[in-house]
Formats: sequence, structure tokens, C-alpha cells
Amino acid sequence: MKISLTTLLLILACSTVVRGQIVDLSSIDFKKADSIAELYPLHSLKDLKILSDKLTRPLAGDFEKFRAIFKWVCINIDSDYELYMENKKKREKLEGDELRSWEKKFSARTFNILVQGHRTVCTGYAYLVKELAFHAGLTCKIIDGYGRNVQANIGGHGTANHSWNAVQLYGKWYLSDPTWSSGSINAELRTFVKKFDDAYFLVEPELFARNHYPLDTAWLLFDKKTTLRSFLNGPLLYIGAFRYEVEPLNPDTFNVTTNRGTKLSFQFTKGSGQDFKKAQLYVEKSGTNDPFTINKVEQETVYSVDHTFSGKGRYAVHILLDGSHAISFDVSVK
Amino acid sequence: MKPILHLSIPTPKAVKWENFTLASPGVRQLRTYVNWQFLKIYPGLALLRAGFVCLFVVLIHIQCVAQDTPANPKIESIEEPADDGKKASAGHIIRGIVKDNTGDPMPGVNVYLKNATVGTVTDAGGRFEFPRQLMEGERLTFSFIGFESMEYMVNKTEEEVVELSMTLEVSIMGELSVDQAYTTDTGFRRWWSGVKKLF
Repeated sequence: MKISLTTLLLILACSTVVRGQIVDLSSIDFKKADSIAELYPLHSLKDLKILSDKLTRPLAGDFEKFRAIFKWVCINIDSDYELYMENKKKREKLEGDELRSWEKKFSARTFNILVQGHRTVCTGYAYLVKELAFHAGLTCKIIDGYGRNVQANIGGHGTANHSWNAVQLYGKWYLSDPTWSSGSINAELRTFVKKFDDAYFLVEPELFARNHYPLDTAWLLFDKKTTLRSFLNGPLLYIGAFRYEVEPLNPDTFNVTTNRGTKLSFQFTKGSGQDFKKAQLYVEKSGTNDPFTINKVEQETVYSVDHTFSGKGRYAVHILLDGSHAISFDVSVK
Repeated sequence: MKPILHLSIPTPKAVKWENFTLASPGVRQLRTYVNWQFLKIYPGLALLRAGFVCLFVVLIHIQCVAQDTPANPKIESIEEPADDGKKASAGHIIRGIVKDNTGDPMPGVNVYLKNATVGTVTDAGGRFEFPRQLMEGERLTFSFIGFESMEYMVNKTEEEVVELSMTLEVSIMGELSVDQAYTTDTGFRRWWSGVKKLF
């Protein structure tokens, strides 16, 4: 077993990055909204108006109302792995009228499962958030598009596979993903593990677009629109990147080609999200891995680390923040 | 014919019985009372009075009912407290039927007054009658799990029957978050690595 690791150091770069921050969530106290969301475990979904009233009427502000709705959906709805797999396989297999006919039956069954068992796939999450927001007097939409993770939309032509929400609060639109905030699939056990993480709650649009690309690009919500091609080929971001609001600067693609002995610089920016204590560059080759810890940390800056690959081959390179995967690259060394 | 004796007592407690005198000069007095018209009963006048009394009672009753209704009912804003359904209004009744986009009636659809709690549910035939009279400009919301909610604004001033068609949320997409990091280690490589370990 060959371990390929070099001494690495994250260096604080001289430039400070100015990032558009749509809302400073740290100035809003969500304790009341969060506690209200926890008051109604597995509340009936047969009349969403009643549930929406319970969640939002005690709250004064629209940010807090939307938070109570978002959190209730995330902590009370489970992802249905079998339903997810069935949907995925049928979407790959069927097309045209056959797909539409199957979709209608599947949709009815999905919502029946949602009402009976509080389980669904992501459109179910986005639908519930939209409907509960509607009854609270908030304008909210379901946005369909390309979701990108370790198993989907890396390179290739892209598959529209995901749904999330855009909500209008005090005249501005914001993006959120209740499905990916509710928990994740354990790849080994193939079961859903519920774990609320508000990393995908009211996310800064340019960061959100790193793993959410809408079918209608108007819902990117920023002027300098990225292309689907650059989306599919950009560095891979995980929930850790959203938790700490970090974005890759360099390399700007997922697949990177370099030469043996050549220094490669990995850089990322840090926004105003949660602070991390430890940053690591983790270089993995062909079934081998070894963590490497770097302690240099500073807020709202560019972080940089140089690495020289000593051997030829294909490497998976990860940036870890407090032990969580944040960004990954696939590096081919010639 | 027997003579009829009439007594007149202007202030009964002021005169003692023993001081009473004969009423021979009082014939004139008696005659005066007899001639007073208001003591006579005329059926036509009584009926008129009764009519006035009844009209008065009816008017009072109408006023009492009107006091339960705000003079100018208005649409509740989001911040206003919930309508508990007890409020009456001088609007009109709304009835209707809710169907899906294939034309089939939809039972169990929740119908609410927007930003209030008064509402109803469609019956087995998809029909409903809103339990409160509604004013022009008020909005009803229609929702059913799996369908996109709708709003209907009351836009007429007389009774109306509305027909609504709700749309099923058809496109279900389901990419989940996966608790797994990227690896270049493909299935074949893992198999080859396992084979190499055997030697």
C-alpha cells in the first residue's frame, strides 16, 4: 500500500475576498422559530393550512416564519431510499408519453406515502415547504434542476434530478434546499440517516449554484450566469462547504491534469458562515489515504496550499474542514 | 230603570269617609267624565296603536341584529387575528365544485378564507358551500396534498357558483444527499486490489 502525502501548509493569502452576502443570518435569532418547529412532531399533513398556522402565527418576521416551516419539514420528513431508487431507474429508462404516464401514477403514490408515512423524495420536501409557505402568506416556488453530488452530475451532459425552493422575503428571493438539509443516505447501509443541518438554508446564490443548477437559469439569482458545462465540470462541493461558506478558487475544475514534480496550488475563500478550527488537505490514491492537518485559520480570507505530486497516477484530493469533506478534485499526474 | 249612582274621588286619600257629602251638585261633574272621549273604546284606534307598537318592536329587533355586524366589513390582513367564523357579513354565499386537471371531482379539498381560519372541505362530489357570506375582494384558498394550491378572489356581488381545476404536482425528482466522499477507486480497481492481495 503506497501512501502519497506531502507536507502541506495552508497559507493565508494577502487578498481579502469580498463576497456578496444576501442576508446576515447571524443577526436573526431563530431560537423561537426552531423551538416552534419542534413542537409538532409528525403533525398530520392532510390539512397543511392548520400546520402552517401553528408554525407561523406565533412569529412576527418572515425570516422566522420561513425558518419554522423549513426546519419542521427537515426534521419530520424522511427520505425514502427505495422510492428514490425506483424514481431514478424509471427516469433513466422511460421517456416521452410513457414517462409522463408513469410520472402521474408515481406522483399520486409519492404523496400518499408522504401523508401516510412522512416519507418522500426531494420534490416532496420542496412541495411541503412551498405549500406551508403559501398558507403563511409567503411566496415560494419549487425550482427543478440539476443537483450535483458524488453520485450525480459529475461531468457528462447532466441529468435533471433534483428540486429545491426559492422564497421571496421582504421583496428579495433566496434559495434553500430542505432535502439536503434533512440528512443523507448512508452509502454502505443504503438507508436514510436523519440529521438536520441548516447549511442549505437561505444560501448565498453563487455558492448555492456550485451544486444546484436550475433548468431556468433566471433562478440562479445572480447576474454573471455560469453555464451548465462549467457547473458539471467544476470542483465537487459537499455540505461542509456550505456549513462554513467556502468556495473553491483554484483549481476551478474538478478534473485537473498536472505533471510530476510540478507545484499545484489549491485555494479557497471563506465567507461569513460558521468558523472552522482545522483545515486539511487530504490526498488519496488508489484505495489509499492519509489525513494531513493544517492549523492555519483566519476568517474571510483566501486560504491557499501548495502541493507537489511526486508520483504519476490518479489522485482524489479533498479539502476537509473540521474533519468534514468540503471540496474534492480528481487530479491526474503525468 | 234603576237610577245609577256615580261617585267621583279626585284624591282618595285626602278626604275622610265621614266628611263625604251628597253629590247632588256633582251631576255636572259626572256628566263631564262621561263626555270624555278617551275613556271610550274605539276598535279602529286600538288596532292602529297595536300596529304602531308592533312596528316599533320590529324596528328595535332589526337594529339589534345589525349591531352584530361591522358597518363596513373589510378583508383581514396577515397581521389581524384569525377569523373564528362567528363573524357575519353582509356579503353573499359562494358555492362551487373543485376538479382535477382531468375533470374528475376532488373530495377533501381544504377551502379557507385567506389569512383566516374559517373554512370548509369539499364533499364526495368535490362540491362546497363556504360557511360564511363573503364580500367582493375577499380571497379563498384551495389546497390538497400533492396539488398546487390555488386562490380565488370573490369578484361578484351576488351569489355565485365557481368551478376550479387544480393541478397535480407531477414531476417528482429525487436526488438525495449522499454521505460519501469522492474516490478514484472504481469497482474494478477494488477488485484488482483484492486479487493482488491474494498473491
